[in-house]
Amino acid sequence: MTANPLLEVNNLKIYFPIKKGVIKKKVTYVKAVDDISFLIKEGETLGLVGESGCGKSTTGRGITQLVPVTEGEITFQGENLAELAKGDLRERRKDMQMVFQDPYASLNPRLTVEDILAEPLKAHGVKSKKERIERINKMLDVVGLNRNFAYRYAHEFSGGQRQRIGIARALILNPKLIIADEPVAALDVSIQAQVLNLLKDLQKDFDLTYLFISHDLSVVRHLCDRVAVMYLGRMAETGSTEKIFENPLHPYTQTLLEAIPISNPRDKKERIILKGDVPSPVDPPKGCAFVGRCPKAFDRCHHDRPQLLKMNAEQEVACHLYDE
Amino acid sequence: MDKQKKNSPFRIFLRKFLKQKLAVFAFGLVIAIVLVGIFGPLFSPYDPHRPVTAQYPDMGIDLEQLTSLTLEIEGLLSNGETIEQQELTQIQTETDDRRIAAVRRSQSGIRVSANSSGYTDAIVESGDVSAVSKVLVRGEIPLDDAEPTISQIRINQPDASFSEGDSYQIEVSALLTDGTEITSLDNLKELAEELYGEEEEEDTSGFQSSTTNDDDAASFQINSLTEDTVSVDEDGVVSFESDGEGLVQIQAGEAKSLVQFQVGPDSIEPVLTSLVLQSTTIELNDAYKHQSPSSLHLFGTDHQNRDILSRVIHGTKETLLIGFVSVAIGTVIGTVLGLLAGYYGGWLDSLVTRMTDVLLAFPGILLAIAVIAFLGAGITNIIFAVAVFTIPVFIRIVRASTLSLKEMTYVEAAKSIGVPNTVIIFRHIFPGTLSVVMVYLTMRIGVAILIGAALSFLGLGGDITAPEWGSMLSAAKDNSGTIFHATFFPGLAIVITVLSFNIFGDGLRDALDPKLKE
Amino acid sequence: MTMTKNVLDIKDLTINFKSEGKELSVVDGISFSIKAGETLGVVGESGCGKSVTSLSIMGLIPSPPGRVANGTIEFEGKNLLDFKEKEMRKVRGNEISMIFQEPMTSLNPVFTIGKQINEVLLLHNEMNKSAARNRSIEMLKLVGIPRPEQIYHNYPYQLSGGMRQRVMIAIGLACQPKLLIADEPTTALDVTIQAQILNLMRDLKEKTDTSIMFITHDLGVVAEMCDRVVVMYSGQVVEETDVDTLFNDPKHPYTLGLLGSIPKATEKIDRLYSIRGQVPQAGTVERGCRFADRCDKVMPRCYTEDPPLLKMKEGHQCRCWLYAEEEGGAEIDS
Repeated sequence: MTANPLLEVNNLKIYFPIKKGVIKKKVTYVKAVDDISFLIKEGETLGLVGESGCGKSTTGRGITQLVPVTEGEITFQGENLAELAKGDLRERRKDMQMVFQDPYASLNPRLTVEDILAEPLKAHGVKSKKERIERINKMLDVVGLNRNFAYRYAHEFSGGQRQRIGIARALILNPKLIIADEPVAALDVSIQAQVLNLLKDLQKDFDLTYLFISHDLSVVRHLCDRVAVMYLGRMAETGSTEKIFENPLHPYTQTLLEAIPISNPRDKKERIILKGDVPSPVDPPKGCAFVGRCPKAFDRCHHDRPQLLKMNAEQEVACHLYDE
Repeated sequence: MDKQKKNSPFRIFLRKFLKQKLAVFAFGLVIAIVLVGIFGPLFSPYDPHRPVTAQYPDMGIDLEQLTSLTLEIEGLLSNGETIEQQELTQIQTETDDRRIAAVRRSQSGIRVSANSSGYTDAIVESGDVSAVSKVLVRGEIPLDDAEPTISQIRINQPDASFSEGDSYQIEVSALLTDGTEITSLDNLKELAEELYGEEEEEDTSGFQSSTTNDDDAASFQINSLTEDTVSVDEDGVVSFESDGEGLVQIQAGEAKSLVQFQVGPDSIEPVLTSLVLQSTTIELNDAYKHQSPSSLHLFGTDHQNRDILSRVIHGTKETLLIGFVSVAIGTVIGTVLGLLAGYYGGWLDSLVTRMTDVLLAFPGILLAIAVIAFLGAGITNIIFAVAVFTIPVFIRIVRASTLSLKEMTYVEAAKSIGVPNTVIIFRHIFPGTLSVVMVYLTMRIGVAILIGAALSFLGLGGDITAPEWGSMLSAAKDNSGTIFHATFFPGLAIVITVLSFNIFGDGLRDALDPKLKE
Repeated sequence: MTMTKNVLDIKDLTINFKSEGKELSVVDGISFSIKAGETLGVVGESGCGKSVTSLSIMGLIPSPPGRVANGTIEFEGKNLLDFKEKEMRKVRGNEISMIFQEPMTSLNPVFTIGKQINEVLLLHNEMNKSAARNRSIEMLKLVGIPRPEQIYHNYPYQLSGGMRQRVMIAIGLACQPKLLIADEPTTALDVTIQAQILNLMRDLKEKTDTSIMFITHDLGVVAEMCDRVVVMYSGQVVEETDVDTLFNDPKHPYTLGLLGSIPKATEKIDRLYSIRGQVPQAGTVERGCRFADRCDKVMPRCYTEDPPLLKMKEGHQCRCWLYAEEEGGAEIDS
């Protein structure tokens, strides 16, 4: 627990304006990410969990500066990314790479694997072709692909192989942090296991830190050291994987865990089934974001926004139930 | 290596394209048209700028040969013998309308030469006899309404001699210029009145004072040239009044023939009684204007007698130049602006989009005319004008596909890696827009050619005598009612070219469409 | 087993697809049946032929390139493959209906929800419009849609994904079909919504006694929903058994691998079991066991001879040479 924080996110807000009318006056905002904070220590895996539309992917894109950050501080290796000059930011990207969900869309179909893998090297000044090819070949070995694949086009590969290419692209610059946005969601079960194992092996071999964005709680439990649960752009609960899965505190985390399909017909369970849908992030509830669906909601939840409270050494929760 | 290349996007595209027979054919045509544009002038048979008649001497073609024909004639004597043309004396030749054709004597015979299109009668006269041949000169004036005229009159020559007081009924037949025969005097008379009589009246009706009726031009006459010995009445009954030689002349229109009678016992010298023309109709070509398609000029010639084939070939270069250069300018500028506007967005996008909207609000041809009106006519300005209205089209399509490609995860991936924007545009976005740009490019070339031709047609192309398809059409349009080839061939060239480019573009689009499986 | 009769009986079904001049067997001689009131899970990874099978039951195989090359699909004793298009149309949506994975695209965006349910009702039943309207609202109520009278007049874009899938289920059940084919109905949904939908389908099955063919790749969903399971791999049935046996005594190495490779939310395992290699395209393996290349227990025999479907115990069959010599391992098909 003495490891240094690699990434620190403080009060991150990412709002997307909705423009209306002829003169494109900014009328309202989609509050995709609404004031969240978390940190990732070196060498650990943080799982960012939530349902679709909760802002988990936007958070990942905000950290890599792919979407403009409305407010908040992102500190990576002690440097505030917002204060970096453009050139420095590009340099910093070397240490922070992404793996995307859709292995079909994330690889340019017009390029060969070699082109795809050479791109980050070129962008970061590896000029010698020999060196590039050497590193590409090494990387292909690492992710378990045949070296001959380098001359093939991305569209000739299956989903699992493509995702390996995507991982190779992210790793080729020896980054510190990998932001993996649903890297296995589009893969078949048997392939999913291969990729998850690969990610685990790579973490050990390359001292990687992962921000693992996923909706699949089983996968998160398998891979992550700590978990952050998001709901409607806000943080509901963070904590170590053990605590979150064994002793979830937030009502949302509880129902989320209960909703996971059982893994054996012998442990059929009675569960609370959540009513209703996630509300629109354009007009979130005034108080707690979860208030409309929460089985334990009370008066205060409707007008008072709960803050993250430290419950124990490993767990924080944003719920008025624990706010005494 | 070969196997790996097999699945490159280009190979896949090629396989898909080759499956479309029509598009491949159109592509072949496009290549052929381009080759014609480049090398065609080297092979064009004539100089497209000068009348072909002026070029014939250089090419060893005898203009005389082309435009004239020998009219062979024989004389028929009253004793039944024929004499050759050379032996005929006092031959006079003339045509009704010298502007159309002229006729003169030459060594080999009577030569009729064409001057311009139309029809007229060539009259050959020898003493008291004459024959007529119809001269048809093919060219811009249609010959459909040329009516047959009386070519030769044949009077039955009696062998026997007559005595004073006898009477004789003349038997007459006549040959018309279209080859039909008239066998009785009454019919001949009737026809002559119909053909010439009325005409006469019409002619004089305009000038009431002039009633000077020329004997020669009388519609039908039958008269005795030797009134001492014979007299003849209107119905062709000859009465012999005294001994000697009797000559009766029958004239119908321009044709004249004689019949000789021996009255009394004294034998008389035979005389020339009629002229026999070998052909009653002479067909000639007008070589000075609007020659019809022939082996000499496959596409014919135009109103200034320039070879249309050569002009179409030379025009290909000009036309393709307009098509390629203008679209190339439009594509390059449009693609660059579209990429920048689509990728960066912001004020640049607003500015470019507004500009595009303004330009696209005008119909293309109107915009082009406005540009020409502003800059003046000329091919450079046509190219510029066509380019101006091509730019917004490309801005729009490139911007649209840039906007969608920008959202692709692989572009996001490149950004997250730290690839500079210029590289992203060049490596990831531009190749993605390339397919739609290629398709539009080929289609737009067709449109540009059409607009270029339209501008030339409207006389905005500067030099209207230049061999350019549009201006060729424009020049030929006034005669298009009668002359088919002068508008047909340049028009066909435009249609084939535009169609080839469009079908080719269609094929490209299908081949580049990822939704269409191989 | 003889007590309840089979609603659907598929025998030796082979479906070929033409691709680049060659005919590939995407579905290769599969046989299974569904009993009245039963939920049968069909499990497999992408390209195993599970969706093609369901389309063939509906008579919706795109032809060309596809065609049913062999076999019968008996629905209540009648072979659906002999049906003409017109007869088939009476079956579709009426006696057999289908819900698809993508609730966003399977509803027509230009018609109201009510209209789309009415359409099915009016097509297959003789009823007037007001009766259809009442029945539609009743169906919406049944699938747990709040304010059904209001939703009746809404357009699909006004509903969330979960709501749309409920509407799809309402349409699917409107004519009280004997068989409901659900092709990955919850894959596109969030876990909490998935739980809602699964719960709904379980309740409805009890109420309506409809048989369900539940196609999915998610074994967790199978554990929750199904009575019996057919595991498909590369166009073949590799294992067929009841759901309890599948999870607690699976036989086929592929089923074992599949179960091992799923991470579990309830316990932490250090390393997942993973099946090596890639999922093959159906029809690409010409001889031997289709799974041989990826199998940990492969024997020389697996590469040369097609394994037969072996009977393990009553209602449990497995296509693997491992069990060929075992007691009771009588061959079912030759």
